[in-house]
Amino acid sequence: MRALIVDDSRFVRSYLRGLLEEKGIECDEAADGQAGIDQLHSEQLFDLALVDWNMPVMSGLDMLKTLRTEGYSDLKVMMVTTEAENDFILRALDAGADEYLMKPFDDEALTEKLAMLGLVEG
Amino acid sequence: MDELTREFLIESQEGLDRMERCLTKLEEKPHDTGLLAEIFRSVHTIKGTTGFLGFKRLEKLAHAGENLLGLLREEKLVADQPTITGLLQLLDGLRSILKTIEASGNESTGEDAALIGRLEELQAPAKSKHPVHAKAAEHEAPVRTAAPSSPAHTSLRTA
Repeated sequence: MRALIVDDSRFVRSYLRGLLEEKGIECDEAADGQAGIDQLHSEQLFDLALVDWNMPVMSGLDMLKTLRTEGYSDLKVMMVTTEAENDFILRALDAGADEYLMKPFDDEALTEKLAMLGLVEG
Repeated sequence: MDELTREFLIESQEGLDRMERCLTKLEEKPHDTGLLAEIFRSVHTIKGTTGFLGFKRLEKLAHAGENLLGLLREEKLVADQPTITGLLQLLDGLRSILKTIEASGNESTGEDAALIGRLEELQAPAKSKHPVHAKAAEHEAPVRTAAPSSPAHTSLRTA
């Protein structure tokens, strides 16, 4: 299984990578939404994208809208963000997010979300 | 100090260096939304990552700064001289806590209440019924709704 981590914070990318690799999930990283889209366009196939909301160049929401428009319908997308308002969650859901994980999170919360997506054992 | 904390310190210091450069430019161009967005992002990233490492003092100060910067970014406030001075004090305050973490591995028990109070005071015009600096009274700052009590466990799935 392969995941794409899209976040402008190096710290968050390293933190997520550490937790995912412990579960045997291989990871690639991108620092903004456009770089994330570029990675999806590469030869590499991804099962999951974990996407921050507030990023330079292209926001996570715009990345989500773009990739759904481009037809990446099998790719599971988990928004990973500090935006806690219901309005944000609804907008992400409308745009095609599969899950929504609030920062900060621990291994347990991440595992629970991955299990919801059927990607790991709960 | 573990690798993640070190990574956090480097990234935060870089963010604050960027914030300082943007603040200098903001004095010349107080309406530049690009500069305000960049400063907001620097502080937002620090606030977002402190939660992972449990640096509560830093989180609280960054949060107060983020609230003020949010109003500036949404043009509900103007970056006048007192506001820029407040943001420079925020910059110093954040740097000072980062330095303490770098030296000792924890943030110690400093007192930031006065600075947080000042940052809240600067938000007042956007929140009052008769804004002094706010662009238009009808565009009152929306009250941020409270986060769900257990947001990390909120699922989008209905089934």
